[in-house]
Amino acid sequence: MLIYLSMMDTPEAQDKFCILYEQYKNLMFYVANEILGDTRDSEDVVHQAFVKIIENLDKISEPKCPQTRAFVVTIVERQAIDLYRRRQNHSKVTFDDGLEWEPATFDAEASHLRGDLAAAMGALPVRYRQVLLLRYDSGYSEAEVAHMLSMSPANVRKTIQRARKKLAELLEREEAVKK
Amino acid sequence: MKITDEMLSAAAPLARDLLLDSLPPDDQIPAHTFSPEFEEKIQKLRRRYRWKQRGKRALVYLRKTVAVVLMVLGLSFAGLLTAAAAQGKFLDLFIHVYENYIVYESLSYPGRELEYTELYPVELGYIPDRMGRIHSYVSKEGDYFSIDLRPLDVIKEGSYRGPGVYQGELVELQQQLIRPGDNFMVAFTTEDAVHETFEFQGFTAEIYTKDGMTTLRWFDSNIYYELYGNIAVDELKKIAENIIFQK
Repeated sequence: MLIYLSMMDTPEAQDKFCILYEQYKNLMFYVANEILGDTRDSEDVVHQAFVKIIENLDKISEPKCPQTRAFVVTIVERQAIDLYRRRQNHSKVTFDDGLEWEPATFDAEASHLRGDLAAAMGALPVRYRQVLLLRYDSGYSEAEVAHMLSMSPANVRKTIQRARKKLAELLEREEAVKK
Repeated sequence: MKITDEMLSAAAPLARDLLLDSLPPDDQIPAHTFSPEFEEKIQKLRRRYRWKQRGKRALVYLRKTVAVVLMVLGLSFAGLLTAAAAQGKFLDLFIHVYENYIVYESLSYPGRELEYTELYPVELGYIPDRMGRIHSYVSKEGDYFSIDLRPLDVIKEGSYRGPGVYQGELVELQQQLIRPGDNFMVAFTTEDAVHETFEFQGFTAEIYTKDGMTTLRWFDSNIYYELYGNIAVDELKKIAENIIFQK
């Protein structure tokens, strides 16, 4: 079904996509390039990320806010890591295998300032952190998170369960260090 | 230790701030000059999804609005269309006029046959002297075509690069094919808009001007046209009068 609406917005003015594009294109390229280190690949990833973002445009109520900024970073980061894996011939890596992308570091100062659990979330492997932020910060449903990250809803649930377990381990380890 | 949903909800905004704090602030992120290929892809992406975005908003608007139906016009294509390409479907066009908005809608029914015109990209026989063509686009599905015009100095300077927040003069012409089996709907607000009709080349266009943007809408059989821009209405009319329809 094709449905169009005209004159509720003008083609250029207040176009949410334009605002997002202008606001975040350099940030997105920066994030992608930090992971991939290649201009062409990074541009491809930014484009793919915009495809993903535009599919979820109606879920973005305020283009210029920390939540949207984090959402955009999450999406482009996800796309970049996926491409990185493909480039490294890791396309058959399972979801769990891919979790060790980023070494888990526990920033004691951040922990003190921001709360142990938040710091621990920041120290989680990227995929855990991405799922948790979309679910618990942005408030998306498991199905929506699944769609955004190209996962199944079951996988999202499983990831959240594992993230909880990992967080508990990190916090217990931190407690032990403090003692 | 048990990590609950409540604990995660409370900690997530802080975790988000940690993530964002790990990135440089916007003013320290180097501006990247994206390749023309990238800009073109983004432009196409924006163009296709802009329609979809409008559609979603139309649905929301229609659901929220308690409208009074003033008029329903049924314009049948049945007499115009033959069997071959019809796939046994019958297409009607309805124009619903509500209090503050208008809906164009097509409905397809099985069991009736019709012919429909395939999309034939048009040409512009008149372009204002100060403007030039910056983009033409045909969708992969062959059901959508557009031509964009921008001022020559903007094109020459290269200052219009894709879907930036552009504030200058623009003209865009779009064709949308309505195939048998498609349920097509255009909904637009008429509140505070200036309306007139305009006859040209055997067509009757409905013209609405609002907030400096003028839109001409008309149908050629099963092809829907929009010509819109923020230039003078008479200039848009002249562009319409000189469109070259090459069936």
